Amino acid sequence: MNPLVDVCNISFSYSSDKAHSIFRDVSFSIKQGDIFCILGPNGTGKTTLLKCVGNVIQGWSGTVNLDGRDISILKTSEVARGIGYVPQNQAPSFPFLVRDIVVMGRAPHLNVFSSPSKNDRDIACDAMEMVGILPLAERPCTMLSGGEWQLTLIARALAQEPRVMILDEPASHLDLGNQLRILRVVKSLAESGIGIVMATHFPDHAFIVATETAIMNHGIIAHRGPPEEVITDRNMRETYGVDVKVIQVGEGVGRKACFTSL
Amino acid sequence: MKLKHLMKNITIYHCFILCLITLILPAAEGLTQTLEKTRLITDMHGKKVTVPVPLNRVALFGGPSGQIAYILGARNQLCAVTSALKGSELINAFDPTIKSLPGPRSVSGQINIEELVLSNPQLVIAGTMDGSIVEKKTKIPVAYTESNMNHGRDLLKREIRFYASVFQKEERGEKYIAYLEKTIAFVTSRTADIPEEKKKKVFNAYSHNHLVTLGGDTFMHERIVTAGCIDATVEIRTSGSKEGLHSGLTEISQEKVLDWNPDILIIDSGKPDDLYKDARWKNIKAVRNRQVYIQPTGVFIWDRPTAEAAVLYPLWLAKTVYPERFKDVNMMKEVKRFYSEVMFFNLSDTQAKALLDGSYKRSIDAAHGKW
Amino acid sequence: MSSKDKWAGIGIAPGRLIVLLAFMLGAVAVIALMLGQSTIPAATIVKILASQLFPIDRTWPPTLESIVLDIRLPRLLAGILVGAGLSISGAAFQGLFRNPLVSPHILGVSAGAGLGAALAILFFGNIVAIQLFSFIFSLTAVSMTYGLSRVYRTTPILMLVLSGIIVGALFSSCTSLLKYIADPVNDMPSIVFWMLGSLNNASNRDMIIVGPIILIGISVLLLIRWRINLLAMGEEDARALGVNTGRIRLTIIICATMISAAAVSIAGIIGWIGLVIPHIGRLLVGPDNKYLLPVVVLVGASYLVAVDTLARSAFASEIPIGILTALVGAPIFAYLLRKTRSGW
Repeated sequence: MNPLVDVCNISFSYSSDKAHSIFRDVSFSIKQGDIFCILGPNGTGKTTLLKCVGNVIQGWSGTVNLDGRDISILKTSEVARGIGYVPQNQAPSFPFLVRDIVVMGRAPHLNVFSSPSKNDRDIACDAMEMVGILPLAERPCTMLSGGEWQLTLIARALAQEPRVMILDEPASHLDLGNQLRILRVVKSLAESGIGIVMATHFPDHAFIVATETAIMNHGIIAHRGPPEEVITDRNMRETYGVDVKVIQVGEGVGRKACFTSL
Repeated sequence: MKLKHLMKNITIYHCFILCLITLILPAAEGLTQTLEKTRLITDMHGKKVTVPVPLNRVALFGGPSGQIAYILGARNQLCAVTSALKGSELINAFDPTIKSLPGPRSVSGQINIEELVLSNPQLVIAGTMDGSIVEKKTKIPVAYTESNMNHGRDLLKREIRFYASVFQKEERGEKYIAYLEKTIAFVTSRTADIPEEKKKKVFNAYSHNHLVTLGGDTFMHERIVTAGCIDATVEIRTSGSKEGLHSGLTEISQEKVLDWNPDILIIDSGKPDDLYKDARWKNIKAVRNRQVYIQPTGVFIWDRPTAEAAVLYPLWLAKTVYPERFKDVNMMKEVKRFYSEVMFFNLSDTQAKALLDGSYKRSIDAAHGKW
Repeated sequence: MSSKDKWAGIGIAPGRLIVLLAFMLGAVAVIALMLGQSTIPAATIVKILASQLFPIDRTWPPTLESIVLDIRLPRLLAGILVGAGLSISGAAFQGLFRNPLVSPHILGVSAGAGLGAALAILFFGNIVAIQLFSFIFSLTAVSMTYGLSRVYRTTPILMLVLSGIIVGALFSSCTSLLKYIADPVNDMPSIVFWMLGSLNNASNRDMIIVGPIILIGISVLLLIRWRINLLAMGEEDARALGVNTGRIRLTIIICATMISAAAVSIAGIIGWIGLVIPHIGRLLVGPDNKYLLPVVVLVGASYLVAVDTLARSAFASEIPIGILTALVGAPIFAYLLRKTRSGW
């Protein structure tokens, strides 16, 4: 199976000096149904990396291929038709309804002068149904909880009908129930054939959904592989500077989990 | 012995008195001398102001009244004037020294107190606003004038007499007033018998859009009536002044002019030709009959409450509106006569012509640009 | 589900509301042509207008025709164009800057126009020069703002706003300087009247020159109106949704600037409308620019025409429209705000 997105040696720096780069020489590729989790401490460049791959910011070096075509020569709208990006974001200052926001995901499929058609609204509707926010469709986005807002942004990306979806810490700031709700949605998206790239602060989330995990530290990918191989006591201490115990849990969970203590 | 004793007593007593007198006298003499060197004037608010004698350093504020100093022949008693007066081309032509006189009050009414104090005035003559600022910030005595848009010739005469009393030029003041009254009487004599239905309606328009006006409660109304005309703006009231606007002008709608439908239109900027071409004006009688006139400008433009325009505007308007009644009047001659008899400015033909066709106005504007 | 467009705002479908507002504008326009220093019956107005297109016997005096065609009509058109233009520019800018407190003047349009007009009043003193100068100077001011805000080949929103403040302050202080040296009897009132805003000087010739500029600006904004929603989500979100943000932002700025510069050049500085009509629109149909912009165009046009009719016919003298827009508008806005209580 050909990779949907192939990231090859990309680097990003705010100045021309490569020594001060945010991250450098990062490579990975995403195939259909993959869930690629990126772990790493704060400030290590995860968000910037995801923005580069999602074509949200410019000025990086290296290549990102979408279906074998270099995204730096594609139109912004062409990239957005292939890659959906879910930012870490606050709700806007205007009380757009949830369905207004979700239907914005149709933008890359529309020309500059048109607004969404019935067909576009139906697709948005399906997206809301898929992530389970259809009942919220007519609620102003200024009146949503954190979890509902995150699901709205996922539905919006879904309405883009992308082949790859990039999620930047979708479960941060959420309670336990909402965290799992998000993970369930992510997993079902992957099952429907979308390739997922997701940054997260929770190693457990990688154990739950990831098909592949990378640990990013000091601007490079330090470790990469299946979560069970990457998330180890040693790698966790090296990455976060604290003692972490990774233990296999049975009792109806059947996966590894991370435990910490002061 | 008793007598001797008495004599002695008297002598001592007298000596004492004498000594006292000789001591006091010089001081008393000094006192009377100071009294002789000041005099009391009453300003237009009725306030008594003590001014030194001789009074030869007066600062004159208030644009339109600046020319009164020339009418009274008191130019050499001025130490500071307004920038507006300094900008007048006519004044500059006949009094080049005006350039070197300090102008501590800018055209928009700001006062540079330092410049005022440096000009070392013995007295400031100003309106309520300017005067109170000067009084608050300096010890210079202030005499207040009363100048507003609502009163016409009566107020002007009081103003002239007040200035004349300050400069002690009563004779010149009365000469101007006589000239004024004679001219007004002449105009009235020629226009009084015009029947109401034959009177022409006049609209004196200000500003570039010709839609700004003074009301029917102002000096302009009096002038128009004197010229035997009907004032189009009679229903407008502009008493008092508006925030940010110096002089109680107001704006009217284009339609209002059509509603009034004046026979004569007097403008202060632009050209009559522009109006003849404008669709919005085409149905106004004055425009249809090509009766749009640009007004003259002397020291100031004539639509302001000045001494020159009080005399000449009614005459000019009457002659313009009813030429057949003023066949014997030659405005060139009248203008030259007024400025030479009243202000001692002997205008050349070119200057008189420029004054009458309003081209001095543009020179005043250009002077602003140069600042 | 999406086709059942029911709204929290006032319970009228946006499509139907737009038709309703269009009728309202028509009604306000007819009333505006009727009222003035004298009242002309609606039937006569219709006949006069029709006589321009069809051969109809003129049974009315030519003065009446002149009032309707040469005086009230250009003023009505100016009211419609300026009201619609300022409102849509305000709504577009509020979306672009993601801030509901932004007015079309934020990038220095009015400050530039003010200086241009003051210069023209002082040096030339005729209407054409005033209009031309205010137009050119407002474009200059916004270009300076845009140029100043360019950082590293991008234009961050915050830099744009700050540059707008800087350029605005520069131009305003120059205007104050000119007011300081202006002649208090003639030039000063002209500048003050101009600053207060008025449609009194609108002529048919102005409409021929300025009308197309405003109409093109409004049309382009209406065409890209749904895209403005995306900008309201923020720069990065918009890019993630496939929007070329730089280009669309420049398009909005150019359109809104052309509109407000043209509006200011014929009507002076009219505040409040560009700030508040978008809010009234949002109270009626919510923030979706797909409906908001058409609603704002119609409400803004009706509102300015209504207020201007009051300004020119209430008294013998004109009431400066800049004063009336807020005086009449503030209570209406307060009422709507209380009634819908939906915030924005």
